[in-house]
Parts: sequence; structure tokens; C-alpha cells
Amino acid sequence: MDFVGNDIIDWSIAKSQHQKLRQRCLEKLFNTHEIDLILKSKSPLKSFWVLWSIKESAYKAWQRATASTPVFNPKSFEIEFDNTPLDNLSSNVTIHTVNILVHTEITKDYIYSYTGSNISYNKIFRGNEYSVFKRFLEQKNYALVKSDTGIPSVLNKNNKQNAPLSISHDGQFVAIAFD
Amino acid sequence: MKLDKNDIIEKLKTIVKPYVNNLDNFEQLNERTEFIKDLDINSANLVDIILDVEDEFDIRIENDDMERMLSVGASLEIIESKLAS
Repeated sequence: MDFVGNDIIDWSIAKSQHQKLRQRCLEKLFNTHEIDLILKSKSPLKSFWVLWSIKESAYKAWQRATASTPVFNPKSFEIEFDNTPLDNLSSNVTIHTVNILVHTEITKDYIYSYTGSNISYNKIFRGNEYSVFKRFLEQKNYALVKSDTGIPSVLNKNNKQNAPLSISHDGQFVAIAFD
Repeated sequence: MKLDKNDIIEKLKTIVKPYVNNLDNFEQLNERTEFIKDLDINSANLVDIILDVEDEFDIRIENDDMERMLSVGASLEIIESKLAS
């Protein structure tokens, strides 16, 4: 399966969302192992958003790959970390016996997760750099298109081929990943 | 306190409004309105909405119901069934 999914978190906004660490909130999104990881970490709120972005990336990739109707089932996506979390980490997300590899980049400004293996173009834009990206697409004779179910892809107008694409925006950031 | 459908929708509108990024569609909200697709609500805020709904109506929403709480209509149906039980 071709997994393409990403999720960016603007840390300047996310860092004030302390209500996310309420027990009732954690229990709706994470299993006991994940909650434990979050609460025992140096920065629980940062860890919350790291785990959230991992699940969201995997969810977007899985929804595209299975062409399923949207559901809100974060607990069905279970995370295992391959290594001790550092600034750049890898995790394995399991959904209904399917495994999805996700990488996460953590900086002082953002948290960015994206699925591994199938992504050849991966970029984060700030402010209006995104319009620069759109001009870049036009120059190459590509176009951003959306299916009826709202799933985006890149259309290569030269050969009429569609490549899966994932877009995520939060605050000042837009992140684009495609195959 | 007995709530009819319109009461519930009005309360639901108050709950979701802070998270809405498409106010035009919010003004035209109806049962078919979808939170993410039409109101451009960040998926990270869905859990906040669900917790606010639990508090406002004094109900508990389990995972099975939470999975489909993506539209006004689905939310209305879930809230009504919880209030009736």
C-alpha cells in the first residue's frame, strides 16, 4: 500500500492548549501506554502533540489508501516507538493489523510528522511561501486536484498521471508531501 | 429539562463556533453540515467539541459513537439517543 500522510503543528499555538492534558481528553485519544509516555515525559504537552501528529499522519495515509469514509477513531491507531524519542524520531503505527512507518521532526517552532517510504517531495512553507510552491507547480505543468471525497493529489498535466499528496496546515505553516 | 431538536442544534452551534474556520458555512448550518469538510474545523479540535458536548448535555460518548460524530446530523442523533436513555 502507498502511504502518504503528513501533519504539521504550529508550536506557538499548540503550546497554550493545556486543556489537551485533561485525563478525559487523553483517554479519548490514546491508550494507557501512550498516556503513560506523555505524562512521564519532560514536556507532556509537547509529547501530546507529537503523538497526535503521528496518529493524524497515519490516519490521513490510511484513509487515502483504503478509500474509506472519514471516521474519528484515534485510539484505533496505536503507536510504538522504534527508538528513544530524540529530536527526530521514528514510530510504527498499527491500524487493523496494518503497519505504517512515521517520522517526526521536532523544532522550536513546529512538530512535523510524515509517513516514511513513499514520499519523494517533502517541504514546509511559512507564510506566503506556499504561493511560491503553487507557482512552482504551475511552471512544471502540475496542478493540485481534489477528489469528490476531498482527498488531494498532484496531477501531472503532461502525462495525465496522478500522484498522492498530503497537505497539512496549522498556524503559519503549510506542509506538502507527495510521492 | 426536555430538549427538542432545535434546542440541541442551538447548543451544538454554540459549542462548535469557537473552532469554526468557515463562518459562511456556519451561518447556513443544517443537519448535513460536516465539521471538518464544511466548517473547516481542525481535526485536533474534534475531541474538544466532543468533551464540550458531554459536559453541556451531561452525557458520556463512547468510542463507537465518537467515530461517527463528524456532522451536525450524526451529533444530533447521538445526543438524542443518550438523553433518551
